Amino acid sequence: MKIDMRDAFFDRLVELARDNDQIIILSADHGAFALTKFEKEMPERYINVGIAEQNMVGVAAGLAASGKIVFVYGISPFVSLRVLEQLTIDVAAMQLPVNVVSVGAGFTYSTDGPTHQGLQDLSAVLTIPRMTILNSSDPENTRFFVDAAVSSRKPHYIRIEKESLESFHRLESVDSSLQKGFSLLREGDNRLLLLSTGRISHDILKVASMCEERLGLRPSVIDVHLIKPLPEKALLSEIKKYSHVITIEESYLSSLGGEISKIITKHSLPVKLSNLGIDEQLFFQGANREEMLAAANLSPEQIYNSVKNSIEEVSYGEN
Amino acid sequence: MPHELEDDRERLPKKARQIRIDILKAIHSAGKGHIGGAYSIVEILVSLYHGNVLKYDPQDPKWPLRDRFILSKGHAGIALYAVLADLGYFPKEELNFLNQGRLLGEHPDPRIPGIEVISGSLGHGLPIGSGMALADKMDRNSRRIFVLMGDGECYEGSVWEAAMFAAHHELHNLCAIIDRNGLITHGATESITRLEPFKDKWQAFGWDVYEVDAHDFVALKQLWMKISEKTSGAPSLVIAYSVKGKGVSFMENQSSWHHGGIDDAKFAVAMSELAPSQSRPQ
Repeated sequence: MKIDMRDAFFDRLVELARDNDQIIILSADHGAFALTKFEKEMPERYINVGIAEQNMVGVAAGLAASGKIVFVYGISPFVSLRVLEQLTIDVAAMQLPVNVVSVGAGFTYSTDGPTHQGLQDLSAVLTIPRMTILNSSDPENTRFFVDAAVSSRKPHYIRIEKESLESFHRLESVDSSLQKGFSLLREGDNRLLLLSTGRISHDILKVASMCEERLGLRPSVIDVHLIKPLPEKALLSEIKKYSHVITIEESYLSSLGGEISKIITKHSLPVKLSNLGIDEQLFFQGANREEMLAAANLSPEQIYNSVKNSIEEVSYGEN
Repeated sequence: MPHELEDDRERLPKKARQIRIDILKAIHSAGKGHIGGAYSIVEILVSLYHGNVLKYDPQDPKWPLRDRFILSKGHAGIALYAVLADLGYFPKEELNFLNQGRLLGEHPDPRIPGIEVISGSLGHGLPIGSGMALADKMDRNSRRIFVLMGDGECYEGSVWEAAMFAAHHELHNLCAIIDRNGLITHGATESITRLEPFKDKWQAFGWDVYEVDAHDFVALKQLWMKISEKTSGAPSLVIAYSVKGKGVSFMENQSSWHHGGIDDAKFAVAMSELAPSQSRPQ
């Protein structure tokens, strides 16, 4: 059953806030149906600050410095790029419990153009020292992020989806996958690993099936939800099993792809790495999310073709 | 005039002179620093910390009931360090090691006892102070939040975002002070991009606005009393008219003394003005 990811997030937040009166939500005039439940039930702890994100993050830091656990909500570019300095200095540098809830990953706001698309936020927020980054891809990890943020009392940048998504079928226990920072969604042979993050992981499962049906190749698929700090040790032990790794993200290439490149280089792993994502390109054309993904060469069929081209360059040998 | 105010006429100027000397020595040791904007706020800091205005405990910097003071114009950090060191928040000898890899850097950060938040980039203090004031209002804490900003800082849009927010939420426990020395690094605010009519702007944003001579202890003391007794729900905004580089003749009203080094000759002249008895030839 598909669940609206904002419901998954805010319903859980309402549950926790009923028992914890230190939890506060700030919004820069951005709403969600699930958020209105919080507002109705705990109106004194829901504050619409108006369209003023820099002040919102500063106010959040002040509240957090006085014992509150604060969630700030907004559309991805406005709670990342516009407030990058506030997140760096006011929040992360002082390790205050401010949790950014960023909606609009990738081409969610597809028709609104580069002002609203969420292609750059992960790359930007990755540069912030000591900021934990979580990227949602299904209701399980989305709900888990609320508990993780409230219990840790540390800064988080949490990217949630706007649409409804199915729960993944995880090959390991849900709890251990969530704690570990990534989920093994499909286990193939030891030739190719597809590593992805966010909603596009659902498409990657389709791509993996296409590879099996058309090429007789059985890739493994991992969805990474803990982007920072990347669970390096656990991911390394997975990556080491494969001769070829392809990262895929609905984002500019300098996020998951960049981070995986770094650890492969750092540990001199004998693995071929390819990164699929979005190159230096802005998207002004108004179209739906699937059409925008196609414009960025990231439809399932296009990803399949990129994977196919990539593996043709690699001699896997006998498995 | 109450006895306390009479006493302040002696005690507080003496303290201010000493703080200016400490600042001068620290910046001379460091090689360079933001002396102009540090000197313009000395009486404001001394009146807050030594005039029975702020509640604090140097032995317990995180005392939960303390008032909170945010130096949003972080480049004047040395002035606050000198006050905090004098009060015993940390050893005074640290002032001799400004910017030399020890406790004190050019801009404040909460590793330093008595410092609430990081500052340095302008336009952050008022939003953070508003959040603190809101938390205290929600929790019915009676303490107050003070934020000291530069006038040049008020070019930052985030200051006005916070100004709207604090007034809307009736953060009566918040007091912002603007060091109105009229100068930024490259000249006068009114010739670069004008800030006036400053008072009208803050009033229009919904603040109770007060004006004061930033170097007059009696006026400052009376103002802090007036603000502590007020009953309005609005936040308070103090425009403190100051002289950049106040106290040393060749630095006063010179934007060139916003930041820089002090050579031995200038140090000697400045010392002779600030402490004639200490610099008299033996």
